Amino acid sequence: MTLEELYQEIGGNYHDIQERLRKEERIQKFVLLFLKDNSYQDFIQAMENGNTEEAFRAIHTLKGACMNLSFDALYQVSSEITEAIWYGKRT
Amino acid sequence: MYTKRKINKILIVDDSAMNRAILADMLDEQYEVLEAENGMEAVKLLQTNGTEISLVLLDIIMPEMDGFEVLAMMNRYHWIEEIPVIMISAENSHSVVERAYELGATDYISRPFDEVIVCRRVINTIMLYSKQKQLVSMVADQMYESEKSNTLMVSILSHIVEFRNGESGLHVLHIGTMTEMLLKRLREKTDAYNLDAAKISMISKAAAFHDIGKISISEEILNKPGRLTKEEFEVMKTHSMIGADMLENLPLHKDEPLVKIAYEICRWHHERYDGSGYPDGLKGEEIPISAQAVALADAYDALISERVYKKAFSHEKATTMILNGECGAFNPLLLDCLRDMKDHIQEELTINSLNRASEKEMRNIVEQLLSHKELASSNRTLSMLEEERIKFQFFASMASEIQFEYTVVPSMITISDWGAEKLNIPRLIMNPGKSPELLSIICPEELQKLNQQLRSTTPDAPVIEYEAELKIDGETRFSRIICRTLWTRGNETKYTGAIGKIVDMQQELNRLRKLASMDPLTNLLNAAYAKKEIIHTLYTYPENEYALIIFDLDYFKTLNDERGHVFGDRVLKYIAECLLKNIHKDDLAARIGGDEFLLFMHYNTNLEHAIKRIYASLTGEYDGFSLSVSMGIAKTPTVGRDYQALYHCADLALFDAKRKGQGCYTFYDEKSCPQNVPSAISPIDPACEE
Repeated sequence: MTLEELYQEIGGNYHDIQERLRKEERIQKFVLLFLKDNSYQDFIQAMENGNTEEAFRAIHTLKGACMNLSFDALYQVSSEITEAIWYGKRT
Repeated sequence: MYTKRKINKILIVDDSAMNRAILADMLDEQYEVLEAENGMEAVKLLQTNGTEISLVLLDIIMPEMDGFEVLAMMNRYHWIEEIPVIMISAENSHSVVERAYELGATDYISRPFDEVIVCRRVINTIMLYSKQKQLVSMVADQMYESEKSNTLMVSILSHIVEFRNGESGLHVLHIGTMTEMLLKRLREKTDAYNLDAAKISMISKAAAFHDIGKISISEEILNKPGRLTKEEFEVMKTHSMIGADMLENLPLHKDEPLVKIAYEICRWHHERYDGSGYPDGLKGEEIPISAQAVALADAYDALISERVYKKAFSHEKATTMILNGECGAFNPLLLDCLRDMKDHIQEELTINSLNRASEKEMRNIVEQLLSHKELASSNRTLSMLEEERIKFQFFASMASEIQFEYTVVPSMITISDWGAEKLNIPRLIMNPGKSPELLSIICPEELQKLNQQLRSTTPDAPVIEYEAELKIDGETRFSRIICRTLWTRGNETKYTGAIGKIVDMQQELNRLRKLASMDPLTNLLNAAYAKKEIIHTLYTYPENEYALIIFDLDYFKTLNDERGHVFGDRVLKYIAECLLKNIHKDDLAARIGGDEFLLFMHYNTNLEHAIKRIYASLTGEYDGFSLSVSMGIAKTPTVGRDYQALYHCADLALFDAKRKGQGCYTFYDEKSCPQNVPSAISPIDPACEE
């Protein structure tokens, strides 16, 4: 599977990331690095423990990573969750 | 050909490893990239690398210490003035951005990161800052050079003038220093005279010209050893006008501010506040403040210097005379300044040699530079600060001492590397009052009290010593905490923090305790300590039986007379060693007088046997001298368990042994040892009887 196909599969914006990071090997390097990111697991764990502070940070980090890699669909979802927790905390 | 190029360091601060990786990837071809994953690490890296870091890319949301706190720290240490910060946060709400800019951030790069944008922004910012630094540096150099040659010229000129007066050569220097001190004090008291750093510097420099008119006064009058006649005094008085005329008739430069001020000073430095001065009889504020200050300085210096017509007065006398109005009337505010300064004047004047003068000049220039908004902090100041920091860190690392620095805002303590290791706590502790690591060393009440003491200091009395018990390595150690509080300078002084060190007194205490209990010559116990221990032992073990033995060296006095005291001491040491070899470690051995020893031992049944053995070990020969002791023994079953009684009876037994011809031992029993005889031993110092 090429990078372009991957992006299509997961609802990402390949054109965008190409423009920003320029080099294909760079994009590949960071996409693979994304796999090592624990934010999602941390988020789930924190939610189970009821630790909203940690959960917020984790999902915020995930959101940032998605934004960096133009994983638009994933970004959208994480963004919504982040907002929910943020406003949920305020009330 | 290898060209050495200084590579710029960039610090990337972000808790997300991916973010750091992306940015690093974009930048590491052209720059050396340092990474920190939270504010604390960022601050540590800034502390170690200082201004070698050309740029900081800073995130806001991070654990431990967030981006705003990092900016606050950079402000506190003034790094913010040298090192540009570009925020890389995803937060871009208006209030967040505004706050970042207020704290000194230079720019904002929004996410997601675009390589072109990142690289361009970074390079633009670095170039901008480096150009600014260059300009400031150039200006500072120019200003410094011109000031230096200025000072040099004035200095030489005034020495020429003074030379003729036969003055000490330091007169001009003193006048300048005193004028400066007075004006600086005056500035703190009132704004009425518009004295900024530049003006004060100029007046102090121009003060050197005050007596140039004396060039035209004849030598006979100038150096007359006695009092001047009325006519002679009139001639002398003309020196002020003459000097002023000289300055006014300068073909060039007469509109220069320095010359104008010099004119004021020359003409009016003998005016007095009540109008009774000369040449014009000006009164009160008609006299320019420059002349007022120099007049006071001149009067003071005249009093403390030796002249052809008088001896030198002391600083105290000079101050008193002036404050009493014996040298004419002065501006009461200036007199207040003199009163404030009087303890410092002597110090300031004595440390002012020619070399220090130019150092002082440089400090003045730096102060001026700092007060000019456009130039802010020049490279020179900052590199001076850097140097100081490096020196401090180096000495701290060499001293095996626990040194620390505390800042109020942000609330944190930094500890020297050695100290942090010794105490087993981290180097940087935020919110010390609530830190569990810190509270494991010092209990909260002590910390509270220390804090109170710190806050009760003043800028004039900033040092305190606080003694507390600290837990180090699991043991309680009695320590002394010595601190100096730090204050902001300026009109309102604010408490900003403290520096200090912790000294372990426990070791010292232990050492002193040991010293107090021993006899230094023989390393046995001393009398006072032995007594204490014996009484304690008798009380603690009521079921045990003990013998208290006193013995002394026979013919010791003769030994000293014949072979000398040094030999005598060696014999005593030898006896002590023999004794120690032959007793149990629980037994107490002491030296209670010149050649008198005490032994206190526990025994079960065969006391006689033990005594025989010990006695035997104390006989023999040492370097040509035959050792012989007389010994008296008292036992608890016979005498009881009172220390005084045991001691007294052993003493009596010893006397009996002596009576029997020396070189033997006697046990005390009521029949054989008569009660009312003089003691065989020298009286013990009553102080030891405690």
